[in-house]
Amino acid sequence: MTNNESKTLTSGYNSARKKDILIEVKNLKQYFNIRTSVGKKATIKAVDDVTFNIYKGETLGLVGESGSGKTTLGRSILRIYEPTDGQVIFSGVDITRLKKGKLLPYRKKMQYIFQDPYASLDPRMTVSDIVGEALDIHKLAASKKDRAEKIRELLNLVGLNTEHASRYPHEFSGGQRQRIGIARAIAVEPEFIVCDEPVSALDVSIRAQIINTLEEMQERLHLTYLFISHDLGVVRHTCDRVGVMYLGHLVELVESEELYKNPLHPYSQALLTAIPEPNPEVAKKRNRIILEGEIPSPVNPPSGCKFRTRCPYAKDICAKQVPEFKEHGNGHYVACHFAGKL
Amino acid sequence: MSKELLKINDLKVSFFTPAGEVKAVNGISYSLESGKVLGIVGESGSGKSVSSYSIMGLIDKPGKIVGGSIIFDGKDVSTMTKAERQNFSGNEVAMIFQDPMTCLNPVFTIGNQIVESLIHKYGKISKEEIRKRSVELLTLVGINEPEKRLHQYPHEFSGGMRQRVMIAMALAGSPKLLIADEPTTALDVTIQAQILELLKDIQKKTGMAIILITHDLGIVADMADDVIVMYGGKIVEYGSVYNIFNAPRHPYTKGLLRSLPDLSKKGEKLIPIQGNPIDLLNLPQGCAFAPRCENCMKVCINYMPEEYLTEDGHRVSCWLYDSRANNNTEVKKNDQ
Repeated sequence: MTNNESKTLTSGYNSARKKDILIEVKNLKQYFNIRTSVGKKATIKAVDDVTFNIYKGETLGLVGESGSGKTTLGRSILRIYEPTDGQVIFSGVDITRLKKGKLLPYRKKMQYIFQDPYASLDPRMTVSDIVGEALDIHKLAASKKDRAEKIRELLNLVGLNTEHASRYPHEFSGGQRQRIGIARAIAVEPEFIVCDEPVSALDVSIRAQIINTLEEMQERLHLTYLFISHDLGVVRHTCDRVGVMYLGHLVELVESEELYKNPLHPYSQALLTAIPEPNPEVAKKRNRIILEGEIPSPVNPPSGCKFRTRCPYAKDICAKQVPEFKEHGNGHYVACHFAGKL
Repeated sequence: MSKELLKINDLKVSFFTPAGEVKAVNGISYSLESGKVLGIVGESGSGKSVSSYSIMGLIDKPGKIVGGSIIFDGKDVSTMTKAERQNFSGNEVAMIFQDPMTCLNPVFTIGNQIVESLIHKYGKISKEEIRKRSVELLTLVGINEPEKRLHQYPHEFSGGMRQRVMIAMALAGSPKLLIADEPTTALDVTIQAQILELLKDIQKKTGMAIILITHDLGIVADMADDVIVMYGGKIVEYGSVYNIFNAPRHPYTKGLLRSLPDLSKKGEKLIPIQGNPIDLLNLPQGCAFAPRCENCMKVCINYMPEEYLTEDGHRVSCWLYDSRANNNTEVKKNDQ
């Protein structure tokens, strides 16, 4: 009975959140001006004209190789970088051009969990200072006593002990440090967190602990995640929808189960067969799509479809025309001239 | 064909640090037949790299091999003279590393660095011969325009290409055994797939044995014939790849396989291994995995388990497989 009830509740929540858009990303562009080794000026189009929505309560995965722009996209949304062009709309408010003071309340609503738990914690600060700093900036603690109480609660929430509060980061293992990073992110009661490869730097036996903690926090605090990862196994487990990036473009965006069953973009197809499968029967027999070459330099990307230089199906049109990012039924977005025909 | 190439017997490697002796490898034994691929899995600090470095003689101060023997092709590696040792590493056993960026010398061309390996193998050979062999090697590892690439420097190569160059250099001495220490960890998945295919292909062509060190169970499932699972400097389980994945025996192996997201259904919670990685300075008296083990018994905390041979040819170090083990001795973790 209770089981049934909770089922209908969650499905109600699911269908409700479909409609509630938390963040709209519209034609977002993030360019970086650089000088090449010979002193020439050049522009790196790290994120180039990306449009998508993030729904309330969902976990949206972003996958792609290094240099595909997934981290840059996450940071541009939070305005860690100043976007070159386009809009990020958070709960109906365009935050792309907000000035510092006006932006602060939105900074509180959006947080970031970093990949490297060794580099992202200040070695000279105690855990209570690291977590408490966020509380101080946003003036969330009424008194010293309240601050200490809040820090204690946060540490317990992420699975650390109260006595850990007075210790320094070097006294912790990688998994525990990542827990500190999570505590710091949720300290300001955010609505949205960008998790940038939160488990990549951790040992295999610790990864599941951290993923579970992230999922628990999401349920308890009704968080929305943008989950950046190159581990497609982890993404499949944690994410409701997945976006696939290649050279600054979003090439496919779809419900995660559908992506694994029916990938439409040739890059997604190759990416999926490249994941090592932890099952010898399957792994030793299957046919991989081995992509030739490597991701081209973003300074001088190919014309038309940026994937065409490695695509086994590339035709003339792919060099001339940039494929449109459009829907192929049921919220399945793909940018490929031959989507559905391959 | 199935000749015993490498036999390691009760190998112990310790690092003598100011904080105390770190027993990185604590008595491991295994053997490897020629032409086989052996996967060694384990987390950081499990001793998987150190055990393989000791085959190559790469253990530096404060590290030291404190016990056991390494027999390669009938010769004891530890009693070799310096000259024998030089001939041995590179020509009998070669190694490729995780980070191809730091393993190549940035101020020499790729050609120059391959020459070193060739001269090491053949002594005095003509320039023409060197060029011919270098081109052959680069072609073998799938580098296009090898003639032109020989004159380029490492920074002109991408990560995947550098790893290919590393493999070419390792193959220059036509070794009987290739030790690959996390060869694809620094690479992207699509490049990883390329390098794994290349290794498989080369292994088929040359018939050399490979020791593949990794933490990625997917890579092991794909490449290996046999698998060693290490924890806290010990081999906790050793068996064929099918046995390890289909019928894991040790609670650590079971836990690892269970914690993988691929195998669990979406929406269900992952089942993690509890606790934190071990501190090698403070190894428990008994089984190193005991503090994190869900089947921990009293005996596990106080005594090191022996190695048991199961009916399907597995070797497993766990008290659960002792005939005396029964549920009466089981203790809750809280009682420790």
